[in-house]
Amino acid sequence: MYRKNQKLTVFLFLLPSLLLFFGILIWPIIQSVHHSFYEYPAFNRAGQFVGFGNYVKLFSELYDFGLAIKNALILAALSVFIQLPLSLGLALMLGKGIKGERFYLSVYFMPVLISAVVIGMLWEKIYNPLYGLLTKSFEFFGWADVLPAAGVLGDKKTALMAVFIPTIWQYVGYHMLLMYAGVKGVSSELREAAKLDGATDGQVNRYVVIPCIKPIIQVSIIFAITGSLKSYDLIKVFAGDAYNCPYKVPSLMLVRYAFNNAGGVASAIAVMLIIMCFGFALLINWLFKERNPYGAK
Amino acid sequence: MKIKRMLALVLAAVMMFSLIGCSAKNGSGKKIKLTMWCIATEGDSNRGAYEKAIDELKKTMPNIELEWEAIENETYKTKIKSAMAANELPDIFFTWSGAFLGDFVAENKVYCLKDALSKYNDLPASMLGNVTYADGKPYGVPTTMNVVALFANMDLLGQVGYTEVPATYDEFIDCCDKLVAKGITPIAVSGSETWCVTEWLEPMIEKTIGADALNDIFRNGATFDNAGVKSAVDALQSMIKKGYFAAEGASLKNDDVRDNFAMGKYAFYQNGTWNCANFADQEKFPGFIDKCRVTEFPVIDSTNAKLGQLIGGPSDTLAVSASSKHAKEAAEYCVALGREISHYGYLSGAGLPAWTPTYEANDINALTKAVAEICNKANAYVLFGDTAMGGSDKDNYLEYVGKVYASEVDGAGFTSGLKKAVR
Amino acid sequence: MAQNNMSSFNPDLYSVKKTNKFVQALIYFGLIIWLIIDIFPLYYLLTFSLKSSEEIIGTNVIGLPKKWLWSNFTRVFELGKKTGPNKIRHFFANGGLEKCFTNSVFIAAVTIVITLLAALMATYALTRIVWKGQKLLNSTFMLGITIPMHVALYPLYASFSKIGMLRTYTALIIPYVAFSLSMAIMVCTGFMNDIPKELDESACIDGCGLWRTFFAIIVPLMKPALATMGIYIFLQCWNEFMFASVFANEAHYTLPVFVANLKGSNLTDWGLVGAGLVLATFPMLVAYVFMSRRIQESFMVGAVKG
Repeated sequence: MYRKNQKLTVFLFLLPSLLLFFGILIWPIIQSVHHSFYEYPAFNRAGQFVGFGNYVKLFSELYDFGLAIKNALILAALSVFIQLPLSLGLALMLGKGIKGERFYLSVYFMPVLISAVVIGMLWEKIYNPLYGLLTKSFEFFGWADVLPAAGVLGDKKTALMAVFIPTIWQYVGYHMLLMYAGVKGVSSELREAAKLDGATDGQVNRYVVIPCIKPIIQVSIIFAITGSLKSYDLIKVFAGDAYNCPYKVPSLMLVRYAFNNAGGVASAIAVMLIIMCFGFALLINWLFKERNPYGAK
Repeated sequence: MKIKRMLALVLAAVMMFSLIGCSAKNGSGKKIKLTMWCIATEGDSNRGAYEKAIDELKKTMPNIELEWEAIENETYKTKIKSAMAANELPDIFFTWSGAFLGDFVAENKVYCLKDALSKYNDLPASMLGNVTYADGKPYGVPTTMNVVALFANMDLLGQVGYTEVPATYDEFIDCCDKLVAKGITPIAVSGSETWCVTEWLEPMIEKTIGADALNDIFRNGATFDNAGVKSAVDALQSMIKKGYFAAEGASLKNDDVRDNFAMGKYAFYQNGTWNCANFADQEKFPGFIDKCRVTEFPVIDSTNAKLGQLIGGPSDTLAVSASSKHAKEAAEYCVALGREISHYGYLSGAGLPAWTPTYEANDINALTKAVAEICNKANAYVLFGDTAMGGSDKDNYLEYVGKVYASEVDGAGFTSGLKKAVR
Repeated sequence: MAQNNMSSFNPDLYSVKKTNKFVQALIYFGLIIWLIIDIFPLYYLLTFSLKSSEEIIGTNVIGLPKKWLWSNFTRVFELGKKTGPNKIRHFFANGGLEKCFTNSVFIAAVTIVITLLAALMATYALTRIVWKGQKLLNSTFMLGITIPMHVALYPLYASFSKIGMLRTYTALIIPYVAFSLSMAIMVCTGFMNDIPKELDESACIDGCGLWRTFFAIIVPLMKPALATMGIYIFLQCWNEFMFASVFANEAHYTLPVFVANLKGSNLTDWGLVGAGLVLATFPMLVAYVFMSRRIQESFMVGAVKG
């Protein structure tokens, strides 16, 4: 193919992407690292160098960043251990070849297209402790005492779950679609062979289909975890201007402090977020590399 | 001599031209375009006042063309602060007095209104206290004046034998106890909007330690570590523990709480007096205004505090950006606009006027009238805590108020935490 | 590519004989339950957008509206516009649903075009031309997929404000492009690897330069990939809220900001808020009805191609 004498051409081809990528993604990260070591008494005007002071501050009783991380991790864990199995279940059921499978698929996927802001506002109405759909239907069945009096979003025990449910509602369809494509991609000869050997449906799924779609599951897990760490829109709609919010997450804190003369703290949160996202992506890749008998894709 | 005459001629010609030029500029031909940002969105109680005031000024100041934009309160705070940092403030902007505007003034982003204000004599000097900063000059035009007041639903109070709003703290507690016993929720506050919790906490602190002491804490750097503050916080928490506050408040927004109060769900609602217009709205809440009474929170500890010490003041303010191209015109327009908004806001019940009324105001609603009574008797105002404190102090304060409401810290935790976190 | 096998696969070959009736019923049961869970909130939204507050709050929570209040919808169109005579003059100039809708469409369209062009060029250089550091650069680009957009908020705000770019369309488009780029390059790489290398080589022998090969041979062959990616990028910008709410002003607000603003002062007017949500959502759902397969594919390809 082409030789290396076309350095300039290569460069020109890459130029737009390089500019955008390094200017808008990498440079802000470097800046965030830099900002995170300074105090910002006013927006965009660096004050004293404080070293890791902002990071230490983050974990004080006041900012309570630990709670935000814990919440984000719980959301990530719920996504992986509840949302993905649910998606896998639906994908396997649909993948068997069922009447109207396109219809089911299309409906399940529909919520993915809706903006998280809309979903947040819709579910806020559903959760409304006085008139919401949830409240009213529990009242109808006479279970009103089951729901916390503070409303599911106001009670510390249920708040995180209440944030998680709309997320499942929205994204199960997405992960299901990915897995469904994988399930459909498993060659029919392979299934046939297993069937001929007397495997039941469950066994076919367990020993043939799931191992085959492992790469897709891996991608789903990465998307689910980084997605939970990034989630903002929905939670912002729920939280509004609340301080000391029981379901606060890092991104919520980041946006608040970025514009309230605490740029250093906001940058420290940004750095922590990046480290967490990278860390998880690497961790999952490594886990799958070790365990995947078919080798990495 | 020739040269001199020539020079004189030239000079005269220059002067002539410049005069013509000036008069052309000042003539009606050229309109000055000004931009304004405010928070008077459709649902805001000040909306009508803004619209009427702007229409009014179209007649009296026809050379100004105003493009204005209303942004929802919560978004507005972020937006205006970031615009300040980016030097992109509109010519005229809505702001809160005290530290909020103070942060802007400290960065030299605000145009001084001393000259523009000096043309009027119907703005009492006391109204300028919160917009006057280190150099002793005013930087904002107060429009409406609001205080925190206790609204009560007399129908519900009547059911437990109270025909008047409890006048002492003990009576208030007794009334709440009776309401709880009767199965009526005494109080609701929106826990998911932390500023609403401060509308309960701040009057309670003020009525315990007195206005001067609270003012020192909010504005003069005195420590939060104060026995009175601690006991007020504990008093609020004991009210929460005794079930005075509606549990669902934790996840309701303020508008929800307010409307439910007006629909007779709760007995007391404590919030800014801008709500008068809403409660007086016969279309939305028919007949409610006859049941509703407004008063100030009773005194808790009479050694330092007394009636007439209120939370609030002229906090709604208009200011002019220092970077405005037509700063002088904008300042004149801004002052005139503030004056008109004060006028129409008062008439519509959105608050008390910061400017002395020079017009008939007999048909304002009964609630606003009652508020005017309260303010007439007032002897001290302490500005809202989240307006009086700026920057990260405000955030830290609200964060702790949130913790108090969630019963995560008690009075001792609140005072010791804020002692460290604020300043 | 996974979907390719879909057509050649015949479910009758294996699944019919062994699945017993009970399991079959259970499967349908599960599927239908999730179907209801999926649709019910949307049905709830649609009905309360047409009801009065009294019905929503008490008398008729779940049923169809007793009185169909279409006025909720007409009221949405009045929002965000200044009243008075200016209203008509500024039909598309100040806020309002139509303005936000056109903003959203415009921003998404420009973002798609720029992203696709940049991604195609970069992918071409990364996969078809041999040079040192190719692999390293490719994996650097891939890092971008995991970076959350929020981290750029503060630094970008500061730099955009310095150069006076805030409150323009560009201030939204540039971050959108940058944050879609990694995914686009990844998907493009997958598609481009499917194009036989012999094509370029023969073009090269015919005396075609790199630029001509790219525009005359590669780009036309990538058309299906472009459509697929375009949809994906479209939905990403269409639904983005954080940058849109912070970087833009009234003249540049997108639909999600319009929706969020609905809440501000009309919180207790459920019918109005519901109508706003419906108007912001249903155009997309209608489009989905007509091109569901295409849209699904575009979401699939990102994960599968990787």
